[in-house]
Amino acid sequence: MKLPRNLASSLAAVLATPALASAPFDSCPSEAFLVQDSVARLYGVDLSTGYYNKLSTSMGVRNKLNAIGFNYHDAYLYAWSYAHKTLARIGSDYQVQPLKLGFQPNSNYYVGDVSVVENAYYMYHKGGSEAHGLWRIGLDPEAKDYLTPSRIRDGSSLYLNIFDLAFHPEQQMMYSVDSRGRLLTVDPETGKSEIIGDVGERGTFGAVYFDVDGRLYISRNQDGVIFQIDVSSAKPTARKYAQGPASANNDGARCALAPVVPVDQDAIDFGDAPESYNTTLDANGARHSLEGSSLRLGKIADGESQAYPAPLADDTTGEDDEDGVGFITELAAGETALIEVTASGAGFLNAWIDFDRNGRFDAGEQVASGQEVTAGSNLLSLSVPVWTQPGNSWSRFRLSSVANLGTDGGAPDGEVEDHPVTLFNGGVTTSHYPSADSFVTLAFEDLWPSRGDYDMNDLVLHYRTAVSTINNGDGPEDAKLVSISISGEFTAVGASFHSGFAVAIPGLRRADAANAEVFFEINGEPQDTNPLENSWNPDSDAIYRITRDVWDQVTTAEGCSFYRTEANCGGSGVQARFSLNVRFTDTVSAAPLDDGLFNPFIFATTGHQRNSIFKTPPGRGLEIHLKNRPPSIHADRSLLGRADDRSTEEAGLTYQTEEGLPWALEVGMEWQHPREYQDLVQTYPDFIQFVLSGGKTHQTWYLPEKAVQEKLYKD
Amino acid sequence: MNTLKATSALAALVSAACLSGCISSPLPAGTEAQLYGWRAFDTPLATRAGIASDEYNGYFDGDLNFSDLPLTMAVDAADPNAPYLLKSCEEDACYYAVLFSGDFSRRKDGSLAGFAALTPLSTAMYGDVRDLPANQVRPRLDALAAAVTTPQGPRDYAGFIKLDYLRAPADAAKVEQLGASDSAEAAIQAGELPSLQALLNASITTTRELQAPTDFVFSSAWDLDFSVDVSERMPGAYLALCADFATREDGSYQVNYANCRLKTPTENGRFEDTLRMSASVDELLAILIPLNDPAGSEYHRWLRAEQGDRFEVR
Repeated sequence: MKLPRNLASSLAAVLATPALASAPFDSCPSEAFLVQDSVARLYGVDLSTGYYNKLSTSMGVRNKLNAIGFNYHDAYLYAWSYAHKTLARIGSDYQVQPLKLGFQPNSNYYVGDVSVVENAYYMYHKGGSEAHGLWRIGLDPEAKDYLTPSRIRDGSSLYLNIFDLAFHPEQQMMYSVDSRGRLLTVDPETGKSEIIGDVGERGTFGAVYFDVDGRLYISRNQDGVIFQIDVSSAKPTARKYAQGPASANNDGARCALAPVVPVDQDAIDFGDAPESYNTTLDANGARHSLEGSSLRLGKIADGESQAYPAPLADDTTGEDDEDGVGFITELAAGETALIEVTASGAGFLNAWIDFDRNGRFDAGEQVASGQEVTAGSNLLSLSVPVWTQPGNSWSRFRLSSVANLGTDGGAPDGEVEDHPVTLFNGGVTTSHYPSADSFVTLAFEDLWPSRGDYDMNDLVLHYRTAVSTINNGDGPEDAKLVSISISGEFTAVGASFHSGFAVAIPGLRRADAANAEVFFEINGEPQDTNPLENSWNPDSDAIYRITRDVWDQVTTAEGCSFYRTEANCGGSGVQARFSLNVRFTDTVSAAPLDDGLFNPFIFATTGHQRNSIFKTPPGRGLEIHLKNRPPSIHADRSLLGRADDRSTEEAGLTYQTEEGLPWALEVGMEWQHPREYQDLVQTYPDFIQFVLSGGKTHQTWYLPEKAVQEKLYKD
Repeated sequence: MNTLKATSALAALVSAACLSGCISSPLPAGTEAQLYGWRAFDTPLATRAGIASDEYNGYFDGDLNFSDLPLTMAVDAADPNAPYLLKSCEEDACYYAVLFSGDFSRRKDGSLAGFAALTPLSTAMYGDVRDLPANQVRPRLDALAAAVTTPQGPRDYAGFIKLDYLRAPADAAKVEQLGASDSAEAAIQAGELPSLQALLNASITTTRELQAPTDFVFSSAWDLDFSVDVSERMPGAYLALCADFATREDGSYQVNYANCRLKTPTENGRFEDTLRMSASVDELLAILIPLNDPAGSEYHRWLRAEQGDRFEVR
C-alpha cells in the first residue's frame, strides 16, 4: 500500500476525454486528498506533517467539487461535481468524469464519503428540501442499485452542522465533528446520529479522515490545523497533530485502510529527546516536513521516516543535524541565559526547556513563543527560573513558517532540534577537555608489565571530561565543585585479555565523592550501580569504574576475534558509549583538582587469566595507566617493575619501559587506530620524530592524512 | 659505536679552554674553515685555519679561533637568529655547522666569546636545513637538537651546538643519537652531505626501537595560560573560549557554542586560569558578552603560532 510521493508525476494520465475511463489509483494511499477552491484543485496532504502539494491544477471542471471520498473497492475518488450537479469519478489522472445517476437529486452536496465495508457512496446536506438529507448511491456495477441514489433520512430530522464525514475503517459508521466541536456518528443504515462528546475544538471541519487504526483526523478550514481524535476513547479529545492548509472551501478524502505514515520516508525531521517529551510519530512527536521549504535551523536537517529518541538518537550514531542552536551561556537558576539560534530564513521560533526536569515540556517552560527570527544569527535572551532543578535535561527548538507550534505535532516546513542541556543552581564555570563536543582518544596496550606489540588497539576509546565549579569567594582557592562529567565511547578492543576501564580523579577525596549524586549511563540507559569504587582510605582519590570488563560492553562481528581492529570485521559501528555525571551537593573544594584529563586507566578483570608471567589471574590490582600517571590505591604495587616495566613510583616515573616507552597514549582527537598487529610507527611514521624530539615536533603525527592508510582500521 | 676520542680527565679542561671564541673541529690543524652568510656561499665572511696546540699534547689540534671576528660581523648583527654557515673540508669530506650570532657574545676587549662544535651531527643537521629560508632555520634545528639530546641535555640547538661530544664524555652523555653520528660520519667520509632526519628515520622501523626520555609522556596536550581583564570596560561580561568557529564573509564570527572549551561568568571582568589543551587546538576565540547587551560582544582571536602558549585579553 505505497503510493509514490508525487502522485501527479508517477501515474500516467490515461484520459483524453471524459468518454474514456481513466485508470484507478494503484494502491490505497497513505496521503490524504484535499479538494479546495471555487474551481476545484486537488491537493495531496501528508497528514503526518500537514505538508501538502498540488496534485492537479486542472481537473477538467470550472466549478467546485465537494463531498469527496476514496473508494477502497475500485480505487477511484468520488465527489459531487457542482459543474455537473452529479456524482463524479476521479482516477489517477485527476480528471473529473461525471456519472449519470439513475435518479438526479436537485441539489449539491458538500458532505460525503465512500463506505469501506460496502461499495457505496453516501452524501449529506442538511435542510428540508426533498433533495436534502442523507443519501446512498451504490457503486458496484454488478449491483442493481448501481448509481441509483436512495435517501436514507431527510435533512430536517437529521440536521447536522457538519462539513465532511468519514467512514470508520472497520465499523459501518460515519464520523464527523460539528462546528460546536461535538464528535458524532451517523449510522448509514438508519441515518440515526449520536453525539459522542465534545472534542474541545470548534470550527468548520471541512475535511475529515480516518486512518487504519481508527483515529479520526479533522482539518479546520479557518487555520488549517489538523487534529487527531481517538474515537475509541471514553473521552475523545482533539489533539493538535499537524499544520495543514487553510481554505474557505475544503473537503477531504482518504483511503481509510492506510496508516498515517510519512508519505516520503525520508522527508520528515523529528526531534531526538526521550519519548517522554513526545518525539516519535506514534506519540504525535514534533516533526517537520522537509519538503515544504528550505527553512532550517542551522544548515543540516536529516530526513527520517521515524524518530530515534534518546538514547538511540541518531546524533550520536549517525549525522548530527543539531547545528542551529548554540547555548552561549550555561543555564543557571536565577541567571540570564543567552542562546544563539541560526535560521536559514525568516520564520517563527517556538522553544522549551524542561527546567523542572519532569520529562515534559510544560507551559511555563516555553522560552520562545512564536518569536520572529530572521535569516542568520538570532539571539534569544531569557531568565532561567529560580525554581530550576539542577541536572541533565532537554530542550526543544522548532522553526517554521507557522507561528504557534506546540511542543508536539507536525509542521509543514522548518525543523525541530532537541538539545540535551545541563541545568545549574547558579552561575558556574564549566571547563571542558578537550571541548564540550569533541574527544581525545585513549589507546592502551594490555600486556603490561610485559612489552606490548604497539599496535595500540588493545583498548581504544574516545574520552572527554567537564568540570563545573562555582566561586563565591575571592580567589581560585575558593572555587567549589558543582559537577564532574566523564563521557566516552569504546571504539576498539583488540585484546584477548579481559580488562576494565576506570578513571581516578586526582584531588577528589573518595569521602567527598561518596556524598555526591551520581548519574551513570551506558548507551543512554541509566545504570543501577554506583561506579564509585570502595576504598579503605577516605582520603584516597575517588575512582569511578566505568566497566569491569569492556567485553561486557561490546561484541565482535561475525567470524571475527576482536572488536573493530581486524580487516573486514567492522560494520557494527561503535557499540558502547558511557556517560558519568557526578553532582556535588556538599561543599567540596575544586582547588586540588587535577587537569581535565584526570587519571584514566585499564585494569585486569577479576577471574580472567593474563600474561603467562602470572600463574593466577592478577585481578583488579593490575592497572595500566598513561605514562607517569600514578597507580591507584587499589593497584598491586608488587607488580611495578616486573618484566619490562621500569616504574619508580617515588620518582613519579611509572608505566614505562627501559626505553621510556608507554603502555598507553593520549591522542588529541578522535583517532583512527592501527589495524591488528600493525605497528604504530609503521602506521604513523611521524610518530618517530614526535618521540625523538620529545614531543617538540610532529605534534600532529596522529592525523589521518599522515597515516599509511592500508594499516588503519576502517569500518 | 661512537667516535668519542676524549678521556674524562680532559673533559673539564676542554670546556674551559673552549670558552674563548673557538670552534672545535674534527679535522687536522691547518685545515681551513670558511664562515658564510646564510645562502651566500660565494664569498666567505672570514676564513680561518685550524690551529695546532701543544698545550694538551696536541689535543686541541684543529680548533678554529674566530675570536677576532670584526665587530661588524656575526655577534653584532641586527637579528640574533640570523644563521651563518661554517664549513671546513678535507679533500671531499666536509663538515658544517650552522651558527647564530645570538649564541656568541663580545668581550670588553672586543674579542668574540662563545663556543661551538663542528661535528658529524651538526653537519647532518645542516643537511636538513640547507634549503630553508633564514627565518625557518632555527626552529628546525631546535627540533632536531631535541631529537638527539637526552632530557639531561639542552634540548635546543643553542645548547646542542656547544656539545663537544666527540671529545668530552660529559657532553657525549647528553647526546642520545650517537649511532646517527656514526652514520653521519660515514656519509661525510663518502663525500656526501647527510640528513639527520633521514638518518633517524632509517634507523627505526618499529616502535620498540624508539627511545624516549623518561619524563616524556607521549601527549601533545599543552597548557594555555589564559587571562582576561576587561574590568574597566565590561565588568559584567560573560566569557566563552571556543576553538570551533568560522569567519563569515563580512568578517564576523560564527561560533559553535556547543563545542566550547570554557564558559564562565567573569569576576568583574576578570578571569585567569591555566587550561589543558589538546594538540589539535591551534586557534581560539575568546568571546566576551555583556549579557544585558549581547550586541556589544567582543571577539578576541588567538593563534598559537603567533602568540605561543599565552592568551591575554585586555
